[in-house]
Amino acid sequence: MNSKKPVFSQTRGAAAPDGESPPPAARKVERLLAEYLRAWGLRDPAMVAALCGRWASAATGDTQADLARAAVQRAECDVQKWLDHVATLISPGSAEDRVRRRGLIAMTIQDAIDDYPDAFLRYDSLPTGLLRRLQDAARPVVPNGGAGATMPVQPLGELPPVLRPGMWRRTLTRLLAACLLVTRFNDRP
Amino acid sequence: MHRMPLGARRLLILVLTLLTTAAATWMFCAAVRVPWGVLAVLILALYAVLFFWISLSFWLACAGFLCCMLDEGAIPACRPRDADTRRLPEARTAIVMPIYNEDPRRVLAGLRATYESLLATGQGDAFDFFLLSDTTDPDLWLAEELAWARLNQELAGPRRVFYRHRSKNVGRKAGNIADFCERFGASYRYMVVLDADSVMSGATLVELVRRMEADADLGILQAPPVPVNRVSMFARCQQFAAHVYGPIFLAGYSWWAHVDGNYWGHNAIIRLAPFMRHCGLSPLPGTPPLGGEILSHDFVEAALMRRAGLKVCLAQDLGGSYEEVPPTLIGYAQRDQRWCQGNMQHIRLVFSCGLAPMSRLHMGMGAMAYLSSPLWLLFMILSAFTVAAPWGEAPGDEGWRAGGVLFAATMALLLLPKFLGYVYLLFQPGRLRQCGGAVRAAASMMLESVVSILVAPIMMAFHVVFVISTLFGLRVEWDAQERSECGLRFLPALRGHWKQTMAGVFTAAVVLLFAPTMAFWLAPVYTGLILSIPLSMLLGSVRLGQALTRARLLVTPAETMPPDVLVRLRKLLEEPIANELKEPGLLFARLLSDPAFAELHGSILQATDTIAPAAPRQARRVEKLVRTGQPLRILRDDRRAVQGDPAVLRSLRMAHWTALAS
Repeated sequence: MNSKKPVFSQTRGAAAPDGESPPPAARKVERLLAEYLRAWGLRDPAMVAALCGRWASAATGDTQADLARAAVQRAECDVQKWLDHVATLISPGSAEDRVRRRGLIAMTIQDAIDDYPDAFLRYDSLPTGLLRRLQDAARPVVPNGGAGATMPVQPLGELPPVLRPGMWRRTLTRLLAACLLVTRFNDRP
Repeated sequence: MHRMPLGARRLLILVLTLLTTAAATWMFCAAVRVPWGVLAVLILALYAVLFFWISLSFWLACAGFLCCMLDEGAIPACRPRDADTRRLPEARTAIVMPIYNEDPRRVLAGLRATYESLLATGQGDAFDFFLLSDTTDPDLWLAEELAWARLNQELAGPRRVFYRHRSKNVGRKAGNIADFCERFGASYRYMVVLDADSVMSGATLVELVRRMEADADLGILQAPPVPVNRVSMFARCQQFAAHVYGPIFLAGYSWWAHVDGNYWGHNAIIRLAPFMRHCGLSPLPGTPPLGGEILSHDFVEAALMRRAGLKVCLAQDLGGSYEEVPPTLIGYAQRDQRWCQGNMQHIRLVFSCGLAPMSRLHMGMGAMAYLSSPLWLLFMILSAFTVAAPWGEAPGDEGWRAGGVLFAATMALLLLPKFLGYVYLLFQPGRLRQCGGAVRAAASMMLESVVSILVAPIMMAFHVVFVISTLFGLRVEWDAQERSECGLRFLPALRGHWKQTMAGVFTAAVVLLFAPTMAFWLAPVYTGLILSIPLSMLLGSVRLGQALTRARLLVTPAETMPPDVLVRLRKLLEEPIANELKEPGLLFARLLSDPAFAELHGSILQATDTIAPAAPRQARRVEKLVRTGQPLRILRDDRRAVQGDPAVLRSLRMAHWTALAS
């Protein structure tokens, strides 16, 4: 049977004539991808439709879940590559430094991308405004080049085990003897 | 006062304290006619030790009062010689805030207020901020990350605010700071340690660095933190006491301890290179409670700095250093319990090798702050028993007279420092006005004194339980600590104080039945205990606190004329709490659905080397709930485990999106 056949290629792709609306499974995947892009802060309908169409058409899967997973994986992969590219533009230094700044780059893209929808996933000539905003925001999580040092443990000497009764025996005996001495001295006529 | 040699100052205080103790003990002998025996010697010894304790504090306050009055203001032990602020940018300073399961909103607000205040001084470039998180609560962990990211997006200036999270809080706070030192310490000359509820003004931070730059032997400089920002009556009493009596106590302490001062764990600047060389702590030999990790690390670090020959001083003349106190008596006791075990460890650390005598004394005093409570209790029990025993004898007229004098003398020792603080206030018209004026400040002082007398036996009862439970390795169970101010309801008050109420009723009954002659003397003790529940509710009341503010009672300068840094903090705290912080699990759900947040989290994990693989069983359990669209049902521990594993998180995010599609 054709159960092994990819759902999407079954319903859309070369077989699907232009202008025909996609089948329900594909529509669902596109809606999901639109949701994913909205989570990235992208709201521009034309851009969202174009990207969703691109990813959805490339996705293959046996079931609705497989299809969705493949589409989102594709989208994730593309976004990750683009983020790497943006991070390299912002921080041309070491890979370590890029990792430190990537988190805030992503958060800023989420805030700013709706102002520059065309820049999303674009590799060449990113808008200067967006780049400046990203450069301004891309602070590292921790400072670069944290030189490793050690704090040698300091000797404190022998510390008495003050909760052990044995330690107090001698002191208490002496104290008791002193008490008795004082008492006897006082009792003398 | 400051021209007197250091040895002479210490000798003077010691002689005065010993003389006062000897006189009081002599009078006690006359007042209580106890037949000589082991019991009598024990009672007298206890009395002498306890009286020594309060008279030392009394004489230090007197010395502080004289310092303040004669020297036209308290002179710090380490006065700056070099006023060249141009040198600051070379002296890089890290401002570190170790946090552990704290409210991120409050933490970041304090950090931001401090940062902005520092920026206003024009010296912000010389400082870096570090949020050192040991947070284990998964929701708070994610909230911290988001709050840090938001802070970075919103701040102006150099914005060198860093965030580091550890997956395990090895060595607790001391371990957290040691980890910072080992990773980043070599890049900085100084480190300023802040608590989660600390706020410092930029001017004070710059001045601390300036003083450190001016004296190469200065190892730790402590800026005494003043409690602020609370409204409840209990907190207002603390705030008023710190503002009015604090200056003379601090001046006296600084005059006496001089370069042998102490470090209180936060709001202090530390010279990093010697700190890293000489203050590495190892666990104490043996098992807890008195072995294991050193809990009150601050005293030990100060002692080790002194052992290495560096000065540890108090900058009591500096303002701009603030903290917050727990708003209720129960919250205060909870905090005390955390400190109790650490201070009990000091009993052993007193015997550490090579420490300066003053460092040993500080540790002894730290332990005595808690041990004095069981000693007082033992003293009272033995005294009452001696009077009530068949061989005991009720005091005659002469005994009553001597007892009265002794009682008056003890009260004077306890209350006179407060009065001296008030007198010093009278000589400072500006501060006096800010404290409500002469009449209202006097009324506030009396109110605070009554509250402190009533609260003393309650705290004594708490401390007795803490000391005993610490020494026997028992746990004292509490409801979660309430840091926000919303008063104290009846049930939590009952749970916190019922044992004390019972103890008060029992004590009153025993005293009235068997030793009625002692009833008058012990009245402050059992009255406070019997009234502990209503008293605790009353003191925790925010409404009452607000009424006192309207009446301008127990007001402080930080309230009537707040500095910019506190005004900013209050404004930041007025911002509404995000909905995601109101329910556990919501932020985890966001982590799955928000790719930018996931990116931020992954970046932090990678950058701070805190990736910790989750157990496969936990990962499977979480994935099952994500696949079925129930991320809010994931257990807290499971969330925590998978949050540290980027690979598992990636597959969970995929599972989340797939679940959305179906």
